[in-house]
Amino acid sequence: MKLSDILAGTETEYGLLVEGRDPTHQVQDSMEFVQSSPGPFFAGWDYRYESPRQDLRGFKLDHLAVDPEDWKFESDSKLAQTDANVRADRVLANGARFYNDHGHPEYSTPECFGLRELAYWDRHGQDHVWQTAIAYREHTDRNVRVFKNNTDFHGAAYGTHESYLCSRSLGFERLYASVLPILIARQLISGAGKVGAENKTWVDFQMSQRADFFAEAANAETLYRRPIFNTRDEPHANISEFIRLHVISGDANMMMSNTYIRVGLVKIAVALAELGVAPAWAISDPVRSFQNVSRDLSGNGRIELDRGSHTTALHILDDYLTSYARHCPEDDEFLVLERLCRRRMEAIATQSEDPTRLIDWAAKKYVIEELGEVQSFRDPMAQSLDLAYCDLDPDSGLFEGLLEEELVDDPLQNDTEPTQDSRALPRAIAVSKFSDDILACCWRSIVFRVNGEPREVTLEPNRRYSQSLWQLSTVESFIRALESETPS
Amino acid sequence: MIIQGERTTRPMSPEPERKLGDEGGPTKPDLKKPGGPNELMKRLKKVDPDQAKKYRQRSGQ
Repeated sequence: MKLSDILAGTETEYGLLVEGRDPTHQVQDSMEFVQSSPGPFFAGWDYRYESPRQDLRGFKLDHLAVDPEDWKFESDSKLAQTDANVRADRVLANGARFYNDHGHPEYSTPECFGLRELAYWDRHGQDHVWQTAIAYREHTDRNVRVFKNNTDFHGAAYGTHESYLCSRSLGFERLYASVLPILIARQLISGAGKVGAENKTWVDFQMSQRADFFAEAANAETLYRRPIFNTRDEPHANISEFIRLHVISGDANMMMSNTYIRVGLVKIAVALAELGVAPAWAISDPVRSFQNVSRDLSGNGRIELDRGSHTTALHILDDYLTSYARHCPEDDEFLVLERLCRRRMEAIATQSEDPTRLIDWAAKKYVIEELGEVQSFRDPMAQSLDLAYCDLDPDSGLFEGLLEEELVDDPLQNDTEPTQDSRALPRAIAVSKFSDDILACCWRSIVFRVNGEPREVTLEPNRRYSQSLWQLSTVESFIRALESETPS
Repeated sequence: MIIQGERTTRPMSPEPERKLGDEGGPTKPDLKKPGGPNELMKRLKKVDPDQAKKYRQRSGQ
């Protein structure tokens, strides 16, 4: 098994600040923002296959919990967030989805087999959102700022999620045991960093933006009482064959190499789970351990294990990398990933070099402490600089400034658009060439109008699609090719 | 409408042109405060100190 056998994608909810507006207006603002998205796109989304209340453990929730503080805004709003019009779905010409998710413009990347490809499309999302912001300003005459982060410092979190296609035969128990340790450990070398705390226990600076918001080790919630391991069972593919591992505990990264690492490490855990050889780490208090790791910048945050022992994120990362190298030695993509991870692990463990150039949380801390000359992290300027680090405006964002000054080492930023071969390719072609013939679209299928009748075409999640599909000139020939193409 | 021919695409190898994580081995901390009125310092000076205080968001997923 190779890492590139696992189909994956990221979803980023962006922070939105519209001049003169407040959270009461945010659902409407985000809807209008997404409606400003530059084309081409297909407007709409096929919700027939969505099942956010279905739990991987074999039951269905009656309802999903909502944040009681946030509900106050909801009751003031005239717009229902579940309304399809309010969601303003757009399927973009690269197969990505762009829509309004709970008052946040969300960009979901096209599905990718390769890590480098995924890091590219995740970054492309930033560019698309920024182009949308420019269009929104022109349409509304309102000044808008957009941030790629996960918190407002006042107790509201919004997610950067990841999806990984797994075998249904894995089941909850094995998947949970295999993936949970890496979700806790990976923040050490891929956390975005945050000033302060939002769980009433102050800390000057921590690695994870999300750590303060986890209440349980595993559940299907995403809006309130969030888990480290999300059990939503919504495969976006044939449910008898596949699970979509839906990860909600990661941060939005500005460094593309950090996105590469964040996703790559979970792929390692999934691959080892599929092979039945994942390291066995029995973590006794996952939530506390996640927060311990987040708050100890030395890398020695205590991860409590059963029977009274403990370990660190560095040990867990080393264990997973070593296990994968032992069981899957011929994977070139893994060798790159391993090199990226070990360089950062060594920088933290031995101070062999400054992690500032390599990890978002360390770069952000450097900007605040050294460049911003903030004397105390309780100074409001510290959180303002935190926010400015992930400001998408290329003229004011501090991460963009670090890139310009070559103070961070992130060579993937120079990548050009990759060739697609996942099921996102036919979706991209359909939107680019046959948009007028589309009736409905989602991750797993496209419904075309053919001779006045609807015709649904399944997009196979484990198939590698051919570039020759671009050459087809009619929707009929395109559909025939999709239905006849066999997996490579 | 995007035509495929207008896109610049290429297959991606797992290895970037400049090797990730292998840029000459460990280096000493080499960060200095950028001197003079460079672009980054201009950006820092423009940050509104109360920006985060004013920043309120709806809870997302």
